[in-house]
Amino acid sequence: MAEKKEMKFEDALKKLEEIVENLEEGDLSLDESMKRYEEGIRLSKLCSKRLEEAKKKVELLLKSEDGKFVTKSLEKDEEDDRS
Amino acid sequence: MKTNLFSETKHTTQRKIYTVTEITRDIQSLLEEAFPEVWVEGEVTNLSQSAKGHAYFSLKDETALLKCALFASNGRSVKFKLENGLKVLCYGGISTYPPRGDYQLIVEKIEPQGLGALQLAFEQLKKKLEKEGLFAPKHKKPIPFLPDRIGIVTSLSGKAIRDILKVIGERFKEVHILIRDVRVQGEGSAEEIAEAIRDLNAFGGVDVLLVGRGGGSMEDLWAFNEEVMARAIFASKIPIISCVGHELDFTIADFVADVRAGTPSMAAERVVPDKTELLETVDDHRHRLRSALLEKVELLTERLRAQRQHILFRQPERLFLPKEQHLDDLTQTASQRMAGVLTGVENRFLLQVGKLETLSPLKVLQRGFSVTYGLDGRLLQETASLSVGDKVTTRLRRGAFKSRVERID
Repeated sequence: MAEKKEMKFEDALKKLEEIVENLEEGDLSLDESMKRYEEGIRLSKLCSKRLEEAKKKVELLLKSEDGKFVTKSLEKDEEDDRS
Repeated sequence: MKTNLFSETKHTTQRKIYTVTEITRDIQSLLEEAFPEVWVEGEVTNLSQSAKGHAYFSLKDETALLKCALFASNGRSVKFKLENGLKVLCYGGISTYPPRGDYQLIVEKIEPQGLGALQLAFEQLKKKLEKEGLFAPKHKKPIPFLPDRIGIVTSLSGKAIRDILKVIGERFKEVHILIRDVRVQGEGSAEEIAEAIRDLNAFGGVDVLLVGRGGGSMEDLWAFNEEVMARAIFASKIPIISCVGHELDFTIADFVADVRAGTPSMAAERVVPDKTELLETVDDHRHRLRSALLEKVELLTERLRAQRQHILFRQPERLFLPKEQHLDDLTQTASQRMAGVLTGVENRFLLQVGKLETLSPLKVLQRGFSVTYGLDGRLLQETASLSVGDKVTTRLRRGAFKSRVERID
């Protein structure tokens, strides 16, 4: 069930932070700065995407007599709760 | 004496003889009628447990000992573990144990003295599991920063689930929540919770588990102090955040869990980050990236500009003018010196040529002189080497002749 991701959100964010700090120190060559900048932008997009693409889902996990799992959506109750 | 003897005899005919069983049965009835319900306090000693779950022990104080039996049927309701030396209050009835001629207290209830029974049970289990290493920090699993799927084990009708869903909704509602509805108090609830933890592990794809319930009395929270539940938490491959009751309630589950949250709401706060905050962080990073790069470019442009503004860039001829001048100087010097050198050479050449010319014998002859050679062809320069009669050769400007020496002066 576990989906493969190119990079975990927290790892991407951490790397992004490093790059920002690197770049802010300003010791890099222009060429290197450009490279880091591009990498940073790529990571920031990855982070935003990860934050935006997540979907809300509330389910109940039930187990049948023969031990099989069934999930049942609870979203409606949630909606009602919030209104 | 006789009378005595008689009366003795008579007494003998009237005596009632019991069998051991009969007298024991009578004693048993007497005791059971006299002490059907008593509370006895004392210290537990000589404790032994049978395979069937019965417990035999004695209560003692400074001067006396009372045998006690706690049968398994009654023992099940005792939450804490009996230990020698424990001061307890036992309730039950006095009876006998005919095979041994013992009288004993058939215990129905036991309360520890000092601590409450539950408190004692809690302390005992805590000590035991701690010794086994179930609370050791090295077993604590990290809680994921941003979980995709959160499992929740609690009662769907409790306050806890509402609090959790509310807080998650405020912070990061776009997560997948999987709830396992369980009873969180009463007989068998600990087993149910333990099973739910195992089920969520078996289901797969769950990144983190919240296990808990809202506030209540120690009895209400008891399921979270049971060993079966502690073992299930410990065995979970998924990291677990416990959240049982209020902030001041500590349960065994809290000690075994990877993280303890004071309340269900706090667990929800711990389990998901604030999305708005995160988006802002990412945005902020992007801005910082951009301005850092711009700054870099600006800095370089500025440096370039500064270089350009340097006099040499504005009047580039300045860079080579002095050099050119120097070159001119050099050329001039060189040609001058060349000329000098050449002149010298020329003069020297001419001088040599002149010298050569003056030295040439032909030149001398031209001036009317002649030269004379001896027989051996050597130029004659003095008469000492000559004798009368020697033949010599004389060369003139034009032609030559041979002659003989007639007289030497």
